[in-house]
Amino acid sequence: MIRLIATTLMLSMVATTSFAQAPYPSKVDLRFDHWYDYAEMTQALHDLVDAYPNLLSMESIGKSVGGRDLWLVTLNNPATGSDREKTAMFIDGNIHGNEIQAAETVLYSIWYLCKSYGVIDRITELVDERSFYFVPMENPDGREVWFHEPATPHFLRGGIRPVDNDHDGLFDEDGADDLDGDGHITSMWVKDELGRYEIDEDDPRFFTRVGENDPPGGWTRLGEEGIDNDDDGRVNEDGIGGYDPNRNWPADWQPEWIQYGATDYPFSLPETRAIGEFLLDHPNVAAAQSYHNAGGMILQGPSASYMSYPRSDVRVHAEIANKGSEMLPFYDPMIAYKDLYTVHGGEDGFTYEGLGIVSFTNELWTNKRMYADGEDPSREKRTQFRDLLQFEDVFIPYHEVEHPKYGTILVGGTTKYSSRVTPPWMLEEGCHRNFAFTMFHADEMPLLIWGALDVKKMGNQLWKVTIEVANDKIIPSRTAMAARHHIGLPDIFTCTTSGTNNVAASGTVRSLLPTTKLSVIESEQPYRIVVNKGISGKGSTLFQFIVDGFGEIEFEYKAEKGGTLTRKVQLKEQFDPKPIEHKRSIPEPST
Amino acid sequence: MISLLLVVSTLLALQEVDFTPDRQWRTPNQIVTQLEVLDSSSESVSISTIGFSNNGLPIQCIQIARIGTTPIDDRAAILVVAGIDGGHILGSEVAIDLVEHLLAKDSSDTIDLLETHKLYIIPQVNPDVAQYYFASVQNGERKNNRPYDDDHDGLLDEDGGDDLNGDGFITMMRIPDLEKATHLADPDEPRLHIKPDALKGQAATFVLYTEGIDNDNDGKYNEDGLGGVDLNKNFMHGYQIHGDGAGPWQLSERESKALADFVLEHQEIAAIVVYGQHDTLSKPLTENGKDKAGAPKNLDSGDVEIYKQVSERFNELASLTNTTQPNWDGSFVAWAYAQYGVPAFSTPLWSRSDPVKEDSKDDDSQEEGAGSDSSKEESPQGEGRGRGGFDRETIRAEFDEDGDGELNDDERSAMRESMRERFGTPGSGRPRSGGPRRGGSETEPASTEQSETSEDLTPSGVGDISQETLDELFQAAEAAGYPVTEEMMAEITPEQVEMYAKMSGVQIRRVKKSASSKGSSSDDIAWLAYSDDVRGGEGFVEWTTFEHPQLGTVEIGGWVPYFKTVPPIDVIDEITNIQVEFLVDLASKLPDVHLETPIIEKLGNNLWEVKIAVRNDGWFPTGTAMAKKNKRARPYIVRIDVPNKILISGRRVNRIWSLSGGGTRQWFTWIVQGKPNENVNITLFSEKFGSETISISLKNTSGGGA
Repeated sequence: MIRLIATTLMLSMVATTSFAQAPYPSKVDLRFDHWYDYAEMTQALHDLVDAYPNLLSMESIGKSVGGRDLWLVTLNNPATGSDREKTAMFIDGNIHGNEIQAAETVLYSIWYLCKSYGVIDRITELVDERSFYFVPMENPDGREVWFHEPATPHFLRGGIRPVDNDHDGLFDEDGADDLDGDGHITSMWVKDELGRYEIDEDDPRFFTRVGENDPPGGWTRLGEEGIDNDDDGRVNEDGIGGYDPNRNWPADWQPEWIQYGATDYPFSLPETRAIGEFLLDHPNVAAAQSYHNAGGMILQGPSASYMSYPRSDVRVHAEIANKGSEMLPFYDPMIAYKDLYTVHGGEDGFTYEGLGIVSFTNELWTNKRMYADGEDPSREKRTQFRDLLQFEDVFIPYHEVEHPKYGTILVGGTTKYSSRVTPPWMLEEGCHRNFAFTMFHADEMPLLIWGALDVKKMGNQLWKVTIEVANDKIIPSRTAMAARHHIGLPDIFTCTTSGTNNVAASGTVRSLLPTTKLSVIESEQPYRIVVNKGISGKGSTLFQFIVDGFGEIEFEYKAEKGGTLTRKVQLKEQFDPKPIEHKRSIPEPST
Repeated sequence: MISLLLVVSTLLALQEVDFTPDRQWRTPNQIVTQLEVLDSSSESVSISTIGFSNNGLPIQCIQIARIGTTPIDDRAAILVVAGIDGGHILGSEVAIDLVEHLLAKDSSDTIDLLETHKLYIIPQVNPDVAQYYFASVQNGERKNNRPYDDDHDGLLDEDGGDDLNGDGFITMMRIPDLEKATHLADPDEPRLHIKPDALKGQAATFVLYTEGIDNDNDGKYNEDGLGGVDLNKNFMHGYQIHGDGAGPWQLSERESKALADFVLEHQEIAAIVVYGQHDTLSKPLTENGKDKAGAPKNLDSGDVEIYKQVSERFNELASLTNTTQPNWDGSFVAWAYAQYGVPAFSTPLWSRSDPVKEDSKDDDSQEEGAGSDSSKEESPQGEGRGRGGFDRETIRAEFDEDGDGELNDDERSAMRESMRERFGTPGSGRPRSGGPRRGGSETEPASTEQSETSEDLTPSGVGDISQETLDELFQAAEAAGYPVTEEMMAEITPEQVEMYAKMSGVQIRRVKKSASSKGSSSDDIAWLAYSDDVRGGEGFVEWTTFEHPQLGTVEIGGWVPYFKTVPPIDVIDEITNIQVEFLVDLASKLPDVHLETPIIEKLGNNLWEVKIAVRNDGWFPTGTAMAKKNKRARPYIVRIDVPNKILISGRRVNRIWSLSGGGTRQWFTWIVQGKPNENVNITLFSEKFGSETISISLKNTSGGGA
């Protein structure tokens, strides 16, 4: 039914816009060589919602520690059903405040989907079949600090709730200080007769370490720009915050001494709690993507060595991630604990282990994108990239500053726009490739269809009704993790009978061959089959109902993450094969 | 003067409340009313609301403190928490009575507790579940009313127990269905039932369901009752994700979150005592290895001695010999110890006394503790002595290291440890009959863990085969491409498991069988004797036949809900007195940390060495070994208030993570530049215990230094 409407809509849309040329215009002009701070991002989302009210809606699902809204944008075509009726994908970014291009990537996704709906057939179909939830800024406070306070590529990763990092009874009393007032926190260097650094012979803009057996180079790095604000003898030892929102999720949460940044308990932060509550309330979410930076990774769990994932789910994740690594040059599929590091209490762990959602974390931008060869560039090559392609823009030359403790020092180095953040002129392509990958992921969410139907007469008013429920997508209607731990509702297959008939027995069969026997699913309610494992990816299940009587029966297959199918069947000998369909297959010549 | 008046007035109050002959257990609403009375009864008492239950009932905290030298806000506190186990109404009652008993005591006896420190009491954390006790039909449910699909059929709470015989209790049904039969009446005690022992030619004669009808007509009886979440499985330490009653995530419930938030916001809490199902006092906790992420499951080795000694003191006051010690994973007390980082204890307050064994009580209890590791509910003794072919005397001899014919504490604990390894510690939770087998593996099998003792294994209901083994088989079958389903696994027999395990190379890990298949649990027998002899039979509903609308003739009977946790109400006073003594004693043991007189020595021109000792005159260390490890309990800070630039040696800010009690000192030494007689302040600061500042002037101290 949904598909019928979708097809009709699609046809009408295509008819009206078929003369438009790519690149298709958007009703909202957004640039993707630009960084949007919290206010600009908020405005851009509002503008999109205003421009595409039929597809978009927006709500604040909570407030950050700093009182900023956590914006959630829902993209759904109500003409094809409500967002909750459809299988949905959750796409978020920027849980680490400094990992800023994550938010632009999410913004790009909304922008591109809206402007392409009704224009590009594949996008129209996808939007009609699915719904999407976007949270571009999961950590708006951290983003705000990165944009508007002196920052580095790595700061502010967490949030702004004060933490006594150095256990001296004072909170956030000694963070970095922008000594030269240039808006960046860079490095401090001091002349030191025994220092192990020297000015580089080949490139006097930089310091370089002297060899182990060489005499001292005369310079020592003092760390990040700052003073000893609390006069305890240590510099910058207790700055803003001191926790990691992406270690605050429940599934494999571990306490602070095992996992830095965990805080006192999972969902102790208003941001993670709001998102967790939203996800728990939306069991139709079957896929999740979290954008981070950097490193060019398509990350997935397990994030701890002791965690074991069911093999069938591992295969599902691998199939999607492997395709992603082809769509995203120089991005590698990685298992967190093996290929990166151990994480307890991460978001993708929660969405998969806790909620049974197929989840990835993409680490945006990799230095491998600097040159087309895909090699990890050497220091010289990275410098060359900054010099020739970024015009030395992300490096502040060393200059003298008077420091209250160290006297005359040098301050300078790479800025917050270096290393982790995509060069803006490369941003749009990165956004698009990652967006396209999430659309591939979204398209592979379960989409249940009726397969073959076979009704055979077994005797006087006794019918053997065999009906196939199929899923042509990679992701099963229930992940093995969900089935194993009974997460959410099982799939339920109901056969509604009328006064003239009755289900005598039910179960599954392997084939339609006459020799195949019914595997009875023991239940006192043969009209209602609980299908805990769901329908597997790229697979189908043949259900069989032995029905007594005559007339009409009605089937309903209901999957939390696969939608609801209904079909009326007349009790008469009949056979319908499974429809073979590819939307763009070459049509049969009409006769 | 004020306190004298208070004593008089509270004595009057005592007479009104405690000596009323027909005292009744207080409902959650009556508790609220009682706290209002207490609030206005004394200036030393104040009540605050720390949160609300799911049903909107208040969760309240009583603060008791007398005016003393230290302002009340700057004092360390002891926290008493009760009612978190919803059926433990005794705990709430005792917790409330503490107030009057404490205030009635001679104030000189409570100086440590009420004038140096203060006491917080949260008497009812879980009012919604406590309310079940007062329902017209009792079923003993411990979970709250968050809807939960126990039987995973897509329907919520659709089939709970029903009080068919109208006796006000949900008990059990024996259904003489030979096809499904699992048990037979114990020939020695026909009220109890056992699993058949084929060697004795026994055959099962009935299947057990909880009392009720199959409300949803799915062929299962009472498999999906109301709720929910067990609050004492909803805390962080040892939390079992997707576990039965654990909730969707840690602190998912309003009540547990309110309690944790209160405790976290009150860093002055220095020790916690919980009144509930767990017993860490009559039988001290010990070390029990590490969990998968590396945290001590029970105690850190450095805290074993503290717990042991506190237990010894407790056992001088109370004699609780028949308590159970369920797994503390996910409990409040486990979190308070392992993550909040304070000494935290739990006691069920009461257990039945066994008059028959009075003469040899001590020995017996210890030995039973060894054999069944005190968790008698599910680890019964069966045919009494020497089960499993072990001779008790031989075992004693084996562990009697010093050969004196008796087991001292160390020897006993070594024996217990060994017995635990041999027989296993059964899991927690009340036994469920009639409901479906718990399908999900509640504990993620730790694949890296090599030596897994049976206590880590989850019973699957398939013989003695662990759920972990079934999960492995399932995975192996999946991996081999065999179209295995959960439904098939649910139907599997022990013989099939053995066959498939052989085929797939999965090693079968068995839950160590208790003697339950041989005979009734000695604990159950003792409870029956107690019910018969002491309680006039009120603990057990005798089996009587009943015409069941769906099952035909059945028998209904069994344990009365709450019988094993709720004592006769007249024992409250005695228990409260014991707890008062225990709290008074605990308060006297809290860390008592001070700066000693500093020693200053002139080293050169305007150059001084300043030395100061911090001394703990209390009994407890300032931080447990666990707190030192987890760094969540914040340290003592020793700070010299001089500009950093005149500090030639030593740090301005120093931290003490743990300082042992009994007068232990920790020294701090600084070398400072300064003019003679210049004033310097040294500050000792603790979030729990307040602060202290000493002002010194830079000159040689008499007799100090060389």
